[in-house]
Amino acid sequence: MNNQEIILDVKNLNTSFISDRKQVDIVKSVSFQVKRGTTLSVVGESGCGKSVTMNSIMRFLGSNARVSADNIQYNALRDGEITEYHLETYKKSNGPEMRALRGPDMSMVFQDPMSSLNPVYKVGDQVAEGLIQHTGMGKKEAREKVLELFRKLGIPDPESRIDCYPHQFSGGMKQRVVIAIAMICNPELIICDEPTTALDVTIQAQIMELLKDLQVNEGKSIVLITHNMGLVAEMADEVCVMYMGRVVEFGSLEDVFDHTSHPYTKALLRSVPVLGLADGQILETIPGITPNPADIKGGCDFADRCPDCTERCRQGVIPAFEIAKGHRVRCLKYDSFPEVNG
Amino acid sequence: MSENKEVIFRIKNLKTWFPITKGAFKKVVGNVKAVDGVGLDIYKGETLGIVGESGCGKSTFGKTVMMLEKPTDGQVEFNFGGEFKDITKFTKDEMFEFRKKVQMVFQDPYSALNPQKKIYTSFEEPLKVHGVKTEAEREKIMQQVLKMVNIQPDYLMRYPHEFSGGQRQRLCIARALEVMPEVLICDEPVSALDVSIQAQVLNLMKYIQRDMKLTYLFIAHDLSVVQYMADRIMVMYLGKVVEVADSKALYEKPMHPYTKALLSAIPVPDIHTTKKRQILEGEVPSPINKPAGCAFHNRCPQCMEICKTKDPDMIRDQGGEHMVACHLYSGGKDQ
Ligand SMILES: Nc1ncnc2c1ncn2[C@@H]1O[C@H](COP(=O)(O)OP(=O)(O)OP(=O)(O)O)[C@@H](O)[C@H]1O
Ligand SMILES: Nc1ncnc2c1ncn2[C@@H]1O[C@H](COP(=O)(O)OP(=O)(O)OP(=O)(O)O)[C@@H](O)[C@H]1O
Ligand code: SF4
Ligand SMILES: [Mg+2]
Ligand SMILES: [Mg+2]
Repeated sequence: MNNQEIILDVKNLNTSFISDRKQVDIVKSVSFQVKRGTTLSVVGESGCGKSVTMNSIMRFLGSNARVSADNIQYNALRDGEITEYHLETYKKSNGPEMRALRGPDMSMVFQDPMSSLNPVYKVGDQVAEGLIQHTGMGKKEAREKVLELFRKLGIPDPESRIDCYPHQFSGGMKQRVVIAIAMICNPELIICDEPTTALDVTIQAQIMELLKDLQVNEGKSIVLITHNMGLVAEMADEVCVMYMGRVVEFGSLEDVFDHTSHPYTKALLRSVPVLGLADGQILETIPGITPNPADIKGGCDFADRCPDCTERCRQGVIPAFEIAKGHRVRCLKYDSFPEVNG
Repeated sequence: MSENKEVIFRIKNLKTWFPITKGAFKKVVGNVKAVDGVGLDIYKGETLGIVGESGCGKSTFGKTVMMLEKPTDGQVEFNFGGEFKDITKFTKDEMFEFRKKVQMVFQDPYSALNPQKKIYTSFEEPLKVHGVKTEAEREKIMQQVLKMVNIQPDYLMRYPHEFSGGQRQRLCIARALEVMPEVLICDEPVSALDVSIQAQVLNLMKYIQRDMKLTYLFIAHDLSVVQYMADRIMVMYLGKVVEVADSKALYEKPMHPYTKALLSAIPVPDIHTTKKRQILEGEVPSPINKPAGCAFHNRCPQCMEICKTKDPDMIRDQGGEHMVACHLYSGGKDQ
């Protein structure tokens, strides 16, 4: 596949943190590609490294993080011309190169709305800021744009709410402000980290429609981190399943939902709560507990909780196998298939 | 179920409004009617689920019940050993007791934990305040609650930003449980968790409830989660209660058109589904300029003439526990 078709190409991304003077590896040789004009959904257990992966790409991590990668390539398509950006080569995480890309090219909706909103500025000004900075648009015009976007995102009575401070907004309203900040500069690639967790289903549906529209009409690419499997089924073209900092399964939506292959993915899909559980019925969970990333022993990270685990699973690094075109699984059950990177 | 149940909160016509001011002189030009006339009894030991659209006043309702927001009008009475007391008229001692008995897990885990302090400090404080004297005892409790939510005990020495979104959310639940409250108000407690850990935490919350006879107010927008947790569900729309029913009854026989719309908008984890989600049309009205009549009328597929002028009263379906505020059930005419 060429640069025209691939908007983001990540190869062998590793991120670790220094915490309590110990180094803990959080993201381990993660590789994936995002195809232009499609949605990639990233799913996986809480704490498995989804946010850290995306924050490593966008360079939003604090000073105790160590990030390395063979390639983090963003291919911008402007007037039919491709420009390659190699994000891994930028020394400063907040230098001019990264700052120029964030906003008009790639933007991110952060998981915790409050951590990305400044409590002492009005919500409208916070959204307008990016627009004014990147396009030099006047204040008045920017305000109109913000109002229009607020309306699209279903914030009622935007004229009287645009001058509110974040604490005057409900949880879901704050989340929509964060979405507005990410969307206002009309980016090519938008990374949404749990963008609708604080939203009820109707507003969630409205926002997903909005994203889909952008994709269909303007060919935008989306990375959607979510634990809502219903949303994945509705939105994703491809799905990336992570466990303990590694990609354990990657494939098209049909691959992952209909030909679910990794034991972790199978267990994950089984524990989705559905309406209409019988009285006294207990939700199914994956047995065992999440291992501590600080004491990983080698072998498959899922071994202790896996129903199919064998002796071989507990040694070395488990490679990924391509069981069908574009469908790769990191599990020894599939070792008769060709080994692939990533 | 109400006959032999003890009431813990008695809420009457509760209103919490936020004034909107303009200009340098802070002239009040209107009110955000976040909670606008909620009346309900909450029973000891039950789980009351609270659902409704974003901005409909769920968090404000929870905070008002806890006295973190002052009610504009109406009452919240708390059952203090058999005697009902207005929470706005508590003495200092009563307030201290109340604060221990009623805990809240806030919607925004990031702002609920002090970013400058290690988790250890944030966890130790409430225990100190509420009289756990020795450090060893405090540590034991802290380890216990962390284990409950599946977080490694050695993470206590970390700062909030060093956790994932879902880990922070679990920390907030653990901290609220530390002081062994009687009532736990959970505002979207599991929204950031993947399904498996979510299931673990929900199951755990159920066990704890059985062991400690806890009362839960459970605010969540995920209806399958609420159904799993709640005995009764209260559906809110624009600051008002539009339907209250047993959890089972609400799902099997929703009455209010808004509840029906909510239920049909749930995305299903099946890629071959043919079910088209019914997404509500029409703009969400603003809690500042509420429409006349039924607040839902501009989006209601079954709206009648009377709905545009008269606000429907809450009625009991066949005199039972299922309550609904909608003209469809009052015969479409004045009562
Ligand atoms: N700044 C940091 N310092 C140390 N450890 C960190 C830091 N940020 C994240 N971690 C750890 O990295 C791991 C992965 O975190 P991450 O936020 O990527 O999880 P996640 O997959 O997004 O989970 P969730 O679904 O709960 O948001 C977690 O164990 C977390 O504790
Ligand atoms: N301190 C405040 N000042 C002004 N308005 C406020 C304040 N707190 C809340 N509001 C407004 O009150 C309304 C209800 O807010 P609330 O947080 O209770 O909603 P919610 O039902 O919890 O929504 P969500 O599901 O999005 O969290 C919103 O319109 C909000 O903007
Ligand atoms: S009262 Fe009327 S407008 Fe309101 S929900 Fe019922 S039918 Fe619809
Ligand atoms: Mg995350
Ligand atoms: Mg809320």
